[in-house]
Amino acid sequence: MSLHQLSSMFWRRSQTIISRTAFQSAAVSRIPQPLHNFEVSGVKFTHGSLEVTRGKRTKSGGSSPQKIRLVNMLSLIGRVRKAPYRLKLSYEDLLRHRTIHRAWQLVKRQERESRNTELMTQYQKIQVACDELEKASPELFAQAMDKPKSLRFPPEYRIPTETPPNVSWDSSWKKATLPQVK
Amino acid sequence: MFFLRRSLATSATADALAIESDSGSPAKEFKIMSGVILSRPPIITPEQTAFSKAYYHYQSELYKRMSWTFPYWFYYPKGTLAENEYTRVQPKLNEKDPDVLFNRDRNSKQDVVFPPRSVQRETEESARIYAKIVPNPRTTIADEENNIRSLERKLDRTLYLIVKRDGESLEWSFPATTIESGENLESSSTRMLAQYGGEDMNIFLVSGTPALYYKDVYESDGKYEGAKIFYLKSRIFNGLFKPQKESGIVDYAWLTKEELSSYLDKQYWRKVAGALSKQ
Repeated sequence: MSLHQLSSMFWRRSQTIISRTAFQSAAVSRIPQPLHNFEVSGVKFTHGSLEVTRGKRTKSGGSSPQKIRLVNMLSLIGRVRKAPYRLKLSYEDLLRHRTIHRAWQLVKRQERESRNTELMTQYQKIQVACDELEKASPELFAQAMDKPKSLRFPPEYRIPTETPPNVSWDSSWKKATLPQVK
Repeated sequence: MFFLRRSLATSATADALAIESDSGSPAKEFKIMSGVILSRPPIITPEQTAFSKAYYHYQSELYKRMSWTFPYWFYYPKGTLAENEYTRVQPKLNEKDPDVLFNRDRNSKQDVVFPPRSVQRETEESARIYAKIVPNPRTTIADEENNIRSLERKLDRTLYLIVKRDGESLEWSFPATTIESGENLESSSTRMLAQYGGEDMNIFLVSGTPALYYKDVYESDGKYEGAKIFYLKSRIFNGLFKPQKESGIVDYAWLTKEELSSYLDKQYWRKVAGALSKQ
């Protein structure tokens, strides 16, 4: 919004306020009033009820400790004055960067593809085994195809970490035995 | 087209069966057996290659260059002793340089330097909490000794159990057993594992569906022509495989996929390799 538009808006708004309180004078003088001339109406331009209170200090005194703390915390969120300058790479550096990135993608792709072929061969082995079992013994095959009603995923499964845990293998594990009821 | 092919295929097998019956030799049966591919899942991540190490280093340096300035004024409030300690260890930069803001050159990477922990009164508990964390080594004693019976060897790989039984053929193979009456693949393999290796193993049978099939043809004349072995996959989480008496187990080993190739019979290995995991 340009300054021109803003001033005209304020002018119109102030005119309505004035007309409510001093409509008589407005009725008396029906002289068409030019815009943007604050002096002509004889009323000095004031904000009146339009006064913007947001951002205005309401209490005397400087910044409170609470306010300082708030500003301090807000300063963590914003990038203002914390962001570094944009990274500008020369043509050769850019080429280097892209080569590194492409090489990494290639390695990842090879890993992914070898993993997929490995899984595919494993799946084919399962298929062959199932077909052969069906030929060899239909009863065993039917039992093998039975899906368990409730699946219990073992909580002992752990995600591999970069370094081993303090006890890498629990050798002293014993099968839990139910206490004998007399 | 599909039906035509199928009919051809069925007729071919029918012919083969007819020839077999014509030859007159008594058709011997194949024994059906169930086996287990018992594996120990990897405990640590795979070894990093030189390339991946270099790539991750490059990425971390880029991150340092592009990250926002460390807001030290929040963690070390102004006018405190902590701030004093923090500023003492910081590298001195030219404040008049327009690129330097909050003691950080905005045209280069930022390495945040923290002051060392100053302790007024060290208690036993605080010493324990703040003690420097030393990561455990990735290689174990079992690795140095190359103890193939240990489960703490090759922590970044899947280890597979193979056994040597005194029976018809003294060869390394995955443990297998005959299916007794009233048993299915799952129950017979769990029974076999307890019988061969004892009860003190925390084992998870992945599925009752066979993951591998191997046809073993016996050379010596016997009741059976050979054995059809169906292997189930399972995993061990805790405990040890301890060969039981009267189980016939002479030797056992926990090996990775590559090592298996040198231990197993060549023909057996060729059939088995596809079902195993590389990592």
